[in-house]
Amino acid sequence: MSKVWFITGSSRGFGREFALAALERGDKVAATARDTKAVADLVERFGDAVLPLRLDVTDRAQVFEAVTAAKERFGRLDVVVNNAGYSLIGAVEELGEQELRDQLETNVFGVFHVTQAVLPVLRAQGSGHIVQISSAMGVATFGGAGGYSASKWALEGLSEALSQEVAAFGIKVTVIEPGGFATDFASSSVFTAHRQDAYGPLHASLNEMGASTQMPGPEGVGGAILQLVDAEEPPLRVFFGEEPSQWVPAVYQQRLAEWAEWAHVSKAAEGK
Amino acid sequence: MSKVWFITGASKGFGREFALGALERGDKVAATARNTDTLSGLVEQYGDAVLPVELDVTNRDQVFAAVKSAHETFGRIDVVINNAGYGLFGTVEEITEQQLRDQIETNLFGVFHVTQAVLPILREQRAGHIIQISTMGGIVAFPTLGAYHASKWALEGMTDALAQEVAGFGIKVTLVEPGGFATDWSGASAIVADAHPAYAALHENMAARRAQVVLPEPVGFKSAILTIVDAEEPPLRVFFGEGPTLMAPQVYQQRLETWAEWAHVSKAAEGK
Repeated sequence: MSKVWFITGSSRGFGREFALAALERGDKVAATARDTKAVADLVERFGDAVLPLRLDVTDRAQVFEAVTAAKERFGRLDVVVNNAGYSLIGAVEELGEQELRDQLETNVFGVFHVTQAVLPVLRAQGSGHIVQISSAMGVATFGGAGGYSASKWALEGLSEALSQEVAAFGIKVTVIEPGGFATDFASSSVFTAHRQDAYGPLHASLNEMGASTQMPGPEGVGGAILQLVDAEEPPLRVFFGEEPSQWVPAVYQQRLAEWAEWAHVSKAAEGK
Repeated sequence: MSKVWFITGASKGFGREFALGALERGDKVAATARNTDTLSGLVEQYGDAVLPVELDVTNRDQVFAAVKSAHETFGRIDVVINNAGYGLFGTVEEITEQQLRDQIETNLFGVFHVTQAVLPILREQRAGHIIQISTMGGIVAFPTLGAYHASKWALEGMTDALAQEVAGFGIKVTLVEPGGFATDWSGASAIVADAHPAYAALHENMAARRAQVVLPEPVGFKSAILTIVDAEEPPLRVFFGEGPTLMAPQVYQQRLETWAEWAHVSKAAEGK
């Protein structure tokens, strides 16, 4: 049976790839974007299978309207992809308070609004799959990514709790953690905080990292998400791209080693 | 040489233990609380070694004023403990937008404000130790605590980046991750969302689980924190309590296995 998708930020990047993969195999897609003109070509190509919806995910009322419209049009919601997001780059000391607020507003509250709007629908169905687009930077991080990682780690913690809360209703939750890809996320979806001289060496290393990295194109992410939404038991977490698997497990091992090294203090805290 | 501490939420629970640990050995403490009446016992006992400061960490201007007054009084700041915080109980569907905002405001923005206020001083000193009181729940997640986890995972991600950004200035950063302790964290200090009937079974289940657990007293917190602040090379992460040292390796192992099990999808996302 064909599935009904609700995808935020579907005008470009991953969101567009997800929408295309769904539509090309005959699924229906409520495709949201801040500017629906950016999804006009999808409508031209796939007709009634696409419902373009204007949506800024930080507008809670608009989120609930969009979810209602999608449900009314297609009768159900099977896959909800919280894809809209961007990254804020800067040392923690350099971040503007408002810049950090805006980062959380889109990457955490946007997902929260959509999740709260779809949950009653999915519970009533007794099925559904909520797919959060996180990042490898949602489980590990580096200097300059504190604001972005705060938002993505928050999303990871929220989603891990959520998955346990809704499993009994037949609702699945998956957190996709992409590494670097050559979408315009790496350019136009990055907001850089005002730089302070004290952090010159950090900026130099960030510039160098950006220049030296060869990133894969996003053409495979559509096929990859189809495997997840079609799985009987999809994973709670999955990397997109091979790169995260080359460094995240090592970071995990490092943390485990440090916790073990300081276990005498953990014990001492209990008076042992 | 005696150290100067700046501790938020010093009136009770862990914060009070940290303040006592410092004062008992002759260090100086700027002890903040929303109501300074709650600090009068410390002042009576330790006199000028304590600077009681009225502070609601969500008030950014008040944070900067408090840090300035501590710096002026004691001439330097060696140890900064971001301890103020609380837990919000409720499923992701049950919590209100405002409850989530308030949770993130105190547990993340409060720490962000203090961190931004102290960094120029610590950089100038080329020394200092920022200690964030996180939780085992900053790396694992349980049902009905999604918002709390969001705030603490966010703190973990931001702080991990911060540690890498300020190491070059001689500033150390530690995330203290306590397991469950017999403080009023899950009692009087907690906020509980209105229950939704759909989650009645889950709440019953969680209450039964909590009733079975006997939580240790934080009797060893004083000596544990002193070990951390006196270490030449303190850890980035340390558990307080033995419970997390048993649980975290299992949770991490499970995540590593899930990532490995789904590596074919990670690869497929690159079109391989």
